Amino acid sequence: MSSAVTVRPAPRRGWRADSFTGVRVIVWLVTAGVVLTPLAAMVALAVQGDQFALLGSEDVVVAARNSVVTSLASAIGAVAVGTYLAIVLDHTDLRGRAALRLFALSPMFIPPFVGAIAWLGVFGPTMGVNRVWSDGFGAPLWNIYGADGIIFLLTVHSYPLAYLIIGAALRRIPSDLEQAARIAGASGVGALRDVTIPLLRPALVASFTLTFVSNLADFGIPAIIGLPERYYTLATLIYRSIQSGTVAAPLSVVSTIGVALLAMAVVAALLDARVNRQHTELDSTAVVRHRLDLAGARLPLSALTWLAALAITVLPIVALATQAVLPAPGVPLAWEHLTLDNFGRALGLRSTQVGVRNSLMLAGLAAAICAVLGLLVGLVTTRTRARGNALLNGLAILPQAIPGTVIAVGWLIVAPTLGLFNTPWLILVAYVMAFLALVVQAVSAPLRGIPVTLEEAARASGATQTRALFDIALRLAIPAAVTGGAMVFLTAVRELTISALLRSPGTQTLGVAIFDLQQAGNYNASSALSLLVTIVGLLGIALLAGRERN
Amino acid sequence: MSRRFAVSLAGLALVGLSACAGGDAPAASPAATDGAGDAVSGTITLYTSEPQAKVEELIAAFNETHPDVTVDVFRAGTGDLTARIESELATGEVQADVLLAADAPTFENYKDQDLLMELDVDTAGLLEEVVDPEGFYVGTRVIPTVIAHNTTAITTAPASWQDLTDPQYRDQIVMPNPDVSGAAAFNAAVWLLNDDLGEPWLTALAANQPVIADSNGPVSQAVASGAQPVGIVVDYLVRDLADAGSPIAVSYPSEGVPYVYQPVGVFANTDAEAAAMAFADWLVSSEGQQLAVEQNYLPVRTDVDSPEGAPAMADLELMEFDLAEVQQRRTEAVELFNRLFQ
Amino acid sequence: MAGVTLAEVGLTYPDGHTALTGVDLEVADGEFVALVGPSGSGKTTLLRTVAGFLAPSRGTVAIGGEPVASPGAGVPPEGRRLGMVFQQHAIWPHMSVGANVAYPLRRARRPRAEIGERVTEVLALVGLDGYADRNPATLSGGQRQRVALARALAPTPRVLLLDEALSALDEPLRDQLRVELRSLTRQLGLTVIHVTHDRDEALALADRIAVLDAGAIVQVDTPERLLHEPATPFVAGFLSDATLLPGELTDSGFVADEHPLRLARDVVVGPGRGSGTLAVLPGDVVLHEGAPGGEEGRAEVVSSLYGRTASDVIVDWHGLRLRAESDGRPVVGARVRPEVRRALFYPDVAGTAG
Repeated sequence: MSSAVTVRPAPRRGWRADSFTGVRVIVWLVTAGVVLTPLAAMVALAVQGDQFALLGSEDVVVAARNSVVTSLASAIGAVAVGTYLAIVLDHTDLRGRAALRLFALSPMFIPPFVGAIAWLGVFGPTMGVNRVWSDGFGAPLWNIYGADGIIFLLTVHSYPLAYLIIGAALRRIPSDLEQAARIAGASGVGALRDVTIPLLRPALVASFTLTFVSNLADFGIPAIIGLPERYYTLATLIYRSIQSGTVAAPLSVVSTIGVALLAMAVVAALLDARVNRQHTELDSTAVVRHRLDLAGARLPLSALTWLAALAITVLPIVALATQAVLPAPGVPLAWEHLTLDNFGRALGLRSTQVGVRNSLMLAGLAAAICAVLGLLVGLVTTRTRARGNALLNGLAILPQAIPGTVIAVGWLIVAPTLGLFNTPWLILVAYVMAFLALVVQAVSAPLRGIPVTLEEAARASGATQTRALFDIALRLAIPAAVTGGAMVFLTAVRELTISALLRSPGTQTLGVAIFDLQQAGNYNASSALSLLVTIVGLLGIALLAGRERN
Repeated sequence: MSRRFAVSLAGLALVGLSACAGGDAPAASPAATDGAGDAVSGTITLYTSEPQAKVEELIAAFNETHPDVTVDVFRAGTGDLTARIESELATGEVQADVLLAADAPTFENYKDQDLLMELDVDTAGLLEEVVDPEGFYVGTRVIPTVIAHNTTAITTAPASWQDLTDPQYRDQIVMPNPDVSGAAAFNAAVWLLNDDLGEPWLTALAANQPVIADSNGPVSQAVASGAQPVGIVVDYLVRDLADAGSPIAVSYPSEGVPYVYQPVGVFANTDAEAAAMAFADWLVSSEGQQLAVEQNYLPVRTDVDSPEGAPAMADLELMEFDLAEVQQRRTEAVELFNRLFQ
Repeated sequence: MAGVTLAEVGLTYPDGHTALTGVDLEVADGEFVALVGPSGSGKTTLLRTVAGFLAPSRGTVAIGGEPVASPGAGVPPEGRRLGMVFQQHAIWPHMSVGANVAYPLRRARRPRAEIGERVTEVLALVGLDGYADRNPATLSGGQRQRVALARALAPTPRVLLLDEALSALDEPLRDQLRVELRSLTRQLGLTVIHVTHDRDEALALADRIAVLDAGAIVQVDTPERLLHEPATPFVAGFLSDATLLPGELTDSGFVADEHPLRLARDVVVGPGRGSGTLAVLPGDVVLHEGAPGGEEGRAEVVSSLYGRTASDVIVDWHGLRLRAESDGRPVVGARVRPEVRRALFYPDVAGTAG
């Protein structure tokens, strides 16, 4: 068409370069604002509030000890279960591995607080298994309330992530390393012990740190399983302090506790970094994967693993379903008593409907904002050279190592100043901060993998640097950003920890609505809603399974 | 309704004139006996500790009379509500227009802080005990705390508070946490001040190691499911569960029952005074009280019958107490409770 | 040291794919045998069956006269006292060089002092004196492969298995290690089974070579005999790039099917008469330039690669791609007249024809 399109005046190019500087500045400001504002406010208030003496008070010390004990024990448990699963599922000839993997991953698709409600139906003092056991043996088998129950549930809900991390690392270990050990005289188990597991160490530490920090922050499980026995963790203590006015200056108290939590998370992150510095480089290899022959142990191990995976998937669903179809507690499970009223009643509640609407809206907006911001952060940090890129990347990923409770407390403190108090946007910004890392990590690898030559070809074809960045790298990374955004949505839509602390009239999320029903003692209705959430989650697995098959 | 109300309504009507002229069906208030078709409108935020399902029914019924008032609800335990109001006061002003929650001392406290507006409701026919003499709040339902028991596990129900200190109930009792439940905190103070019970009884009860559940809801659930076959709990929840089929029954202890009457109050800074007053007034009206009874509450009106299975208001032994003293010693009672029941 | 005997070894994977069928192979004590064959021919499968990573579905494997595998029974890899070097060296990155080499000795529960001595000794043997404390990550590819060799040799294995052990290395280094490997194994009198896809490497190193095709051994022989007397057209084609073409051998000579090639009986090596396959080794073809003669004798050069000893030339001769060695470097497109001075004839065996 016109020649103006092909002849580009020089000044225009200069302006374009400036426009990317503009993008960089905006990305920096937004990221730093979203991540640093609440943290700075929390630390400042803690220092100012001078409540550090409080850290020595009995309540806080006990809660801190409980937090450390439950998070540590569950993180160790999760890593142990994850390692076991990675080895038997990805490394041996166990029977039915593909189906078993889906069952074993099922807790990941169920929000932890829903899991707590469900397992309460299994191991509550007079529920499910304990009811049967009491009838037969006179005393309950195991009461889930208290520390052991919290550790159990945190383990159940964090081992799938540990398994995914460890399994991925295991698949990267060339199988000839283990075969060399076999030839050298080590048994199958010996080769695992001497070669494979030592090589997994970075993955073991990474999964330990991740599950430790997320379990440290988890609110739903200790609230549902711990509070009835007055077993407080820092997360539930913060919630109690804010929601029940049990302390005089709740915000400065919780900010002090928040700083303590933050310190724990930082220690975990430092440990992780220290171990990862001494990581070993692995050569890739074309050797065919070789599975460990379990021989005589194959049948018993298969049976045991299947039994455990089925129990973990099926028991809570059965318990939820049982409670959901019974009209009231204490009503025996019999055909004539079954009813679907709980579903109708729970779904008919305005609080539920508002919760669903809020959750969908907040998760959708958080996903969209994180996708765009995360893509831009990834673009800036991987495709341009500038001092501070590493810092920007670190800033965006930082919240992943911060307990959700701390994020919520930070935002709670700055909310009045920003005019966000009592609005849903408070939860939204906290979500963006908490989940931005998901998108940044999802887009970084593909962005880094795009050959520079693709952009150079665009430059050679007449595009400015900015133009080339947007037309080539950004376009190519959009699918990854969409995937990352979807992960944000799925995480946020079932979230409880942040929204429970940041709730205000009319801004309750679905998680909070279910939690409220549970707290108010309406177990039948909360079970009905939980069951629906669980079924939606399991449909997610089915979808995943379908995609894997393709 | 009073003249003052009508005046303010007129002002409101001016503002909302265009909306009214828009031809909204005004006949949607068939039960309106007063106000003669004046449609109150506006949006109010209600802070309440009523159970979610009940408050939603309540608003639906209220909206039959006042279809143009939108009620936004924030439901939480009384403790959570007072904490929220406190933090709102610290950072600005109270977001709620109406507070409908457990106990009078909380309202006394807010009255002293000049946070409440004098109510403009018709108090004729109400129990004397539930009306604030100064007119800043009024009770909306009588909620006694009683002894509930699981009918499968317990054959002879405990008949008095003293019975609960019997060693046979060791590890068998469940009760709410006064840190969370306003009613529980109130009860703690009433028991402490009662001459027959007092600290010795609380100490003896603590020796039986009751399970402390968060609030009344989980207590009733625990009793119904048999986790702990005996519970100290508000009476309407027991009737709710029994209606739904749970093996649970209620007994009203012989020493009398501590009770709260779920007062309603309007915050002084409300920007929807007319709607807020209409809501408060409706709560204690005959229709409002009919609904309360349907929801298993004891009514505050003498001209409305108690729910089925509950004693008539005249036969109910209420524990006597001095409100000012209860309010004064409430914190002390909660602290004592926490120390004893830790 | 010990010999390896495979008798009637067959291996069928659970998915029904047959990887080995009826393999008989006798590797004598101290012998260096190479396994070659196209990819998928089963050479790696055979090696891994000897190592114990795969269990044969049929037949038996014996090492030093002791049966180590038969259907339903087998000694696991760690019980076979073998040494093995993998293509990607498989050095454990979390252990030092010394710890890598010491590992098999520790598994064999040798005394600590002996282990230290032996590690020093084998590292010296592979030319890595003083490397015991090094982190493998600081070594070059060739050095890592030497560590792998030292680790395999440390426990004085009965048989040394080499799985493409030199293939991952670059050319000059590979040649150097090839020389060292040959002298080292001969000096130690090691029994070696060496899998490689590099024909020259097999010819250079092995006492005998086993050629595999489709899971079966086609020929086991010395390098010389394999080159000059390939047992089948496949061996001639695979090892020597022979050109294969069908035709009929009579007392008067060979007549190609649908091709002008005719050969007198005396240049055709091979028994019998009738239809069969003719294999023409590149070295037996002479290309005459600008040659006269009939249209039938003409061919065109389509590819010409220069080499150290001769150019590797392919000519198109009436549709037949004939491979030849030539002293000069014929130009692509040049007209030449090929002359076949010697050819091998393999009569069709009943059942394999067509």
